[in-house]
Amino acid sequence: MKRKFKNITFFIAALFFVIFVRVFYLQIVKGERYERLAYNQRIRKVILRAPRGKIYDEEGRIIADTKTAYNLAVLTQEVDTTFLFQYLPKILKIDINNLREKIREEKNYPYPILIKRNLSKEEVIKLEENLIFKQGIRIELDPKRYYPFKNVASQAIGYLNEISKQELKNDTFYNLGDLIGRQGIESYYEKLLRGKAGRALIEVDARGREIQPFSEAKEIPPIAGADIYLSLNMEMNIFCESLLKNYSSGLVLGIEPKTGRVIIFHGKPNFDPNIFFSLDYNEWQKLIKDKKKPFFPRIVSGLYPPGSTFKPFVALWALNKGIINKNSYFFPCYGRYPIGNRIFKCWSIHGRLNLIDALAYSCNIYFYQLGIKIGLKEILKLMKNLDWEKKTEIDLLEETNSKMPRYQTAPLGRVANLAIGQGELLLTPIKLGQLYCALFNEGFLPRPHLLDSIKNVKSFHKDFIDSLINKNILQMVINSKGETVYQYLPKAVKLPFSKETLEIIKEGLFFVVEKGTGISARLPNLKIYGKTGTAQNPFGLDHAWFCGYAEDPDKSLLLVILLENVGSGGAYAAPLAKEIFARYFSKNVAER
Amino acid sequence: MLPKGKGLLIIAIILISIGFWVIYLAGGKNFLFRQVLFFLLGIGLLIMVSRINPKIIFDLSFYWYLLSVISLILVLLVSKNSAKRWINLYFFSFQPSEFAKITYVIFLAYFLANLKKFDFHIKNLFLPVLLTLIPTFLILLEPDLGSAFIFLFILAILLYFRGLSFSQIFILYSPLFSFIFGFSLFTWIIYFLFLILIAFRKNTIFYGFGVLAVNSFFGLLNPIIWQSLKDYQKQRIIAFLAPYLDPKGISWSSIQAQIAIGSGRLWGKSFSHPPLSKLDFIPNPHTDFIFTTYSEKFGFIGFIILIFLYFLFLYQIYQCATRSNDLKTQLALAGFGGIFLYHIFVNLGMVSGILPVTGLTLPFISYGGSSLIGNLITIGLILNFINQD
Repeated sequence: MKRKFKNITFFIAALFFVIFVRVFYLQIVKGERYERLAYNQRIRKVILRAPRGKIYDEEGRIIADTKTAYNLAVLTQEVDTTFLFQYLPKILKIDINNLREKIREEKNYPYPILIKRNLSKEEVIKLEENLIFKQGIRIELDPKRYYPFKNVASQAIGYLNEISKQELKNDTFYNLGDLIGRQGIESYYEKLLRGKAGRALIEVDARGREIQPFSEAKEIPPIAGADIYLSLNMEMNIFCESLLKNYSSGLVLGIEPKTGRVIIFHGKPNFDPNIFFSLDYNEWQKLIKDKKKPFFPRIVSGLYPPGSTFKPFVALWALNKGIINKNSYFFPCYGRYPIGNRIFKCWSIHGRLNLIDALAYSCNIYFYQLGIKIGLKEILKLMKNLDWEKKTEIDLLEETNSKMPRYQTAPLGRVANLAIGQGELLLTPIKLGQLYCALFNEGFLPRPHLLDSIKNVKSFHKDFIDSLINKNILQMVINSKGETVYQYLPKAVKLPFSKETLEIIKEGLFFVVEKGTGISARLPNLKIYGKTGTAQNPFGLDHAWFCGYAEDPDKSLLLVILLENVGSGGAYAAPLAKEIFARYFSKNVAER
Repeated sequence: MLPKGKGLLIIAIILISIGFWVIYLAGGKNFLFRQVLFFLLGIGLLIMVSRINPKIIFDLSFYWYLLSVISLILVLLVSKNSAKRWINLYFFSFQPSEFAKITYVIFLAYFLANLKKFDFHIKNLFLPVLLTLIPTFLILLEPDLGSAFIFLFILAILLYFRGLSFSQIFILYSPLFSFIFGFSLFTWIIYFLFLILIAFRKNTIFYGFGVLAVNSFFGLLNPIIWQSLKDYQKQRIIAFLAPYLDPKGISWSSIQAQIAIGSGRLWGKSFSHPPLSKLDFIPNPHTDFIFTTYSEKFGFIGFIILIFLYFLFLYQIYQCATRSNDLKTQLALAGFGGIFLYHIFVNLGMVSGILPVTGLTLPFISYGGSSLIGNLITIGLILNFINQD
């Protein structure tokens, strides 16, 4: 018992000694410094915002870069607000009422809050002269986004703006004042692009000047987000932007049919993602309400009747079902054709045509009759088989579902109209592009995508990466340099069309450009397939469609062009396709 | 007339008086007033408890234990706070874990003392370990990591006083250590090497390998479980077990507490100066973090006095335990000493920044009814037991 008593006493003494050493260290060794810290100085804790991952195009050009910006921040608990409200408007353009509101709302926030982003050099100098030594005001050097290509393909890339209160509540990963992806790639891959903020403690003197880092606490450095490589070719996108210069609204979409890689994604009207850094919430609301809808990504969200671009699919279905063959004829086209008690028109007088020529000249009367022959049920079946209402699953959250007719029976006139792509069938340009890809990909419907690969993945991205792997979107590979890279995993669904019938349709589409409605897309040295379309627009001039395809031994490209409110596809959209194909296959075109 | 153990009571009252002062500084008049009421109630209970026939206390100890287990279950069901530690009794919130510690010590002392033969064997250890794990897990669910581990700590002390050696106790606890050290491979290997030395000392090879196998299992369990969790699940567990930790990194309040302590320096600060800890950045300056205010005011000298008083207090408890001829009294006193020792060490360690932040009070000083009354009842029990021999 004596021994136990001795041991337990020793044990107690040992534990107390540990505390003794610690308190000795705090009060005697560090005492003087801590006393000073406690009363004359203070420690300020600041957020070290992390740079986002970069976005590159297929040739390694930087689409979204990280630069540094000077931001003005205040510590709501320290700042002298009367002074601030009085002097700040003299130096900066700033909405004082907004600022007052913001400071009141966040009066207990422990970190500096951003009140003005992206200060100019002059503003920084003025601030340093006048304000910086006032308590609780801080100029922070934060990463900012820079998009060198400005408006080009901006709807695919998206933009950033400040995170909302609600989002902050839902995801504790963020801090007040963080920027978050709002559209396009920036939003879809937000959880990969975002970096992890660090923390630092800084000693501040009685006048609010920051002296040095607080050495007793290790700084937690920020970690950059993962880098994303896209399939986009920005050079081609710039070219397409210049082609659309004279049109107020339109789009060009380019896809590689075998893989589903999206090469071109340029829509108009659009926006410059760079402007958001200097905007505050109210200015930003104004932009959103702009009547031209610059943020509306028509390639994935716009719904249009396909017009004549739908014809090849009707023909394909009829061929597959054995209802017609390559040389089937219908009642010849005299420009007018009665159905029920109405007269339906063709855009020209074509006379007697076989299927190939009917496609080449886009004869409506041929397709009215074909549509009536196969019937509504089969047309609806065709659309079901094309996965019409399913999304293409492109990596953009903005994608909307295309729409099918909701009725099961209809008068013949309606059926005839459906067969030429008018009526209650509406689709997104991306869906149309996907369907055309299947024609040139042996009937395989590819999943279009903008993402090629992801590099520099950090541990905090793991959950999101895993979720993409589980959805069969990504695969992990080790590249030749030994880096871990996550690559997009292409996916394609086989449509029930035979190879022979696809060849017939391709022949028809070849003659569209060779001698038919799409002749203005013709290039002497390149075999181009295509189909024009004119989508009826009850509000004005028609929308011009052109879907085209060309390939050479190295590459292939499926184009979808839509110009709104201009007129026919053959006259307006096809010439653009020629320019784009000539540019894209320029090397080979020149050689031949 | 209390011939033995007067010293304990005197030290306790000195400490409580210091506590009044500091509570007033850190929390204000209201808290002081309430603490004084708790003190008066506690002293009344102390006198009552010290006069009950100890035979009744011990013979009914199983029911005391059962009652506190029930109250621990009840608090999980009834409490609506995110930390389910208190049962609201209108005039004050009752913290069942404070009383569970006391009843646990009494029952286990009684139980261990009544075992005829006690050696290091699974059939002897199974029940005591089980009786310990029940309240541990219930309190872990509240969640209150700091209070949960106290039962494991007390069990070790009781087993030591019942006759197990250090190395035997170490081996008994080794799966737990292995699990904890499993967080990092490096520390686990060092721990494991140390374990090999102890496992094969005085033991058969067969037995030694058994210990190592069990340890390897628990050591592996940690990384396997942890790595199978998703990030957000990990964060939830961390946030659940350690709610005070800043989820985003630097533990701000802990650093502020250290600065407050350090600023007291050798002699402490003048009394006209408002204490730093009264500013907003230290959580619970009058309860768990009261030591920051104390050491800011009274400095290192004050700390030495405090720790000396605590040492004297514990020394007397174990001295009384040693002098007693009754095994169950010895064990009960050792266990009570363990409660105080654990509280003092973990609280001071946490406030001074060497242990993670958990919600444990500093005995006699911290504001809090359950804690103060519980401490006084414990003293009442100690006085009761040592005056019966």
